Amino acid sequence: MVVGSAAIDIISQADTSEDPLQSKSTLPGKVSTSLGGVGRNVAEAAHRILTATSSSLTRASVLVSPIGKDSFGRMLAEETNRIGMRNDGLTEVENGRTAVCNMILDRTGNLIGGVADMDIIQEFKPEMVCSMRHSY
Amino acid sequence: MIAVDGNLSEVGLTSVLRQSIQDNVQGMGLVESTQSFHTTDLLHSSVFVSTSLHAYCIHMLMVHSEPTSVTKSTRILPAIASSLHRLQSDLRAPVSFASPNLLELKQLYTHARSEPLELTSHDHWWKVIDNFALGTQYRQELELLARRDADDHSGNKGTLAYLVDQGVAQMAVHLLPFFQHLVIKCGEFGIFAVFRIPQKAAKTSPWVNERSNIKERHIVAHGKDGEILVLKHFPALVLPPEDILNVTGAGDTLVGSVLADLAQAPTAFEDPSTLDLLMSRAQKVLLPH
Repeated sequence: MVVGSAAIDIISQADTSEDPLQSKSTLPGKVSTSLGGVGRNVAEAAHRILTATSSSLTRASVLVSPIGKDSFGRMLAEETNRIGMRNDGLTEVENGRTAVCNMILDRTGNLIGGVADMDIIQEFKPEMVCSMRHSY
Repeated sequence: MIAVDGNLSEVGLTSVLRQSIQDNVQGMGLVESTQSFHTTDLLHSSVFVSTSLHAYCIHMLMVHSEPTSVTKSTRILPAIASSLHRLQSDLRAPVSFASPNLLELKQLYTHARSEPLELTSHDHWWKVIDNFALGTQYRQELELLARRDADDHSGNKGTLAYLVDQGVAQMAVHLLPFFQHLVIKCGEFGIFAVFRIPQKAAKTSPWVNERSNIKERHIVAHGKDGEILVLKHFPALVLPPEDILNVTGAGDTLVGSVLADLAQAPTAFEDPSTLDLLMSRAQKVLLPH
């Protein structure tokens, strides 16, 4: 059971050499998303290894993490499921925004800025762990 | 087995730790009979199985390389502080595993010994350290280990001098009263594992017959009450620079591998050969395949 952060990473990379943080306007480029969060990354790595050893371990790795009742939360739940991991540890909380890390890269891929919205991790409640343990 | 992300707030971490300690106490009766288990049992009773084989099986995952979060890696410390009074005569650490990088290790150590926590003034800390009985022999062995090359294949990475010069070994040993096993991620310098095997497990552990061996990169110290202390260095795998695509998340993946192995074999650290296998797998999982 991994108790920790689950987040969506949104990575924006401009195509031009202009600095996206100085331009006061949007620049053409690529925006991609991936699943992030330290806890989530670890749970996924453990899941992949456990399932490579045995098909009976598909539910052995469970991530317990708060998510918001928002689109990003639904995305996390669905994408987690899509890679074959159980998502029943992702617990919706009222009035929380699913964690998102929004990163801006320059043309060469260096991180030049961004905003990390991780407030929801403060919403973690021990009951989330307790209820998971009964069903574990 | 419960792994906890260092990103949680202090309150969150305290509550998870407290709950696990409580469950361990409650599970004591059931625990002894479940020493051997099949994977299906693991799914149903992992809480009890893992708590029998480790004091409180919590693997701490440390946040790494976030420039704004100097203190994030230390949020577990108040949780540990509040659990110390429950330990009483049990000298095992409240947290089973932690995997800090070098910066996080230093932060943990500094915060543990400074005000307001001053964990190194606690009775529990003194008793554990005293039991290690580390003397001249240990210091000499550490000096010898520090002269070893950082890895056996390329001579240009330098030596393990940082273990002594930067106080890495000392900080790690001084954190062992709080973390039973430390898997210290040293980037290109590999992994430095520093851990304790409690007296009961030590009796049947192959480590009991091991002595310090600089060539094998480990120091073994036998404590006063039969506990065994091990410090072992695992060099990083050698990769040509052009093969290094992306180091983001590498630490998380490594930890995920260690967790997966521990979930299936919680006593992997208690045998040098299973430990070597666990580390080698954790490092190989990072390679492109």
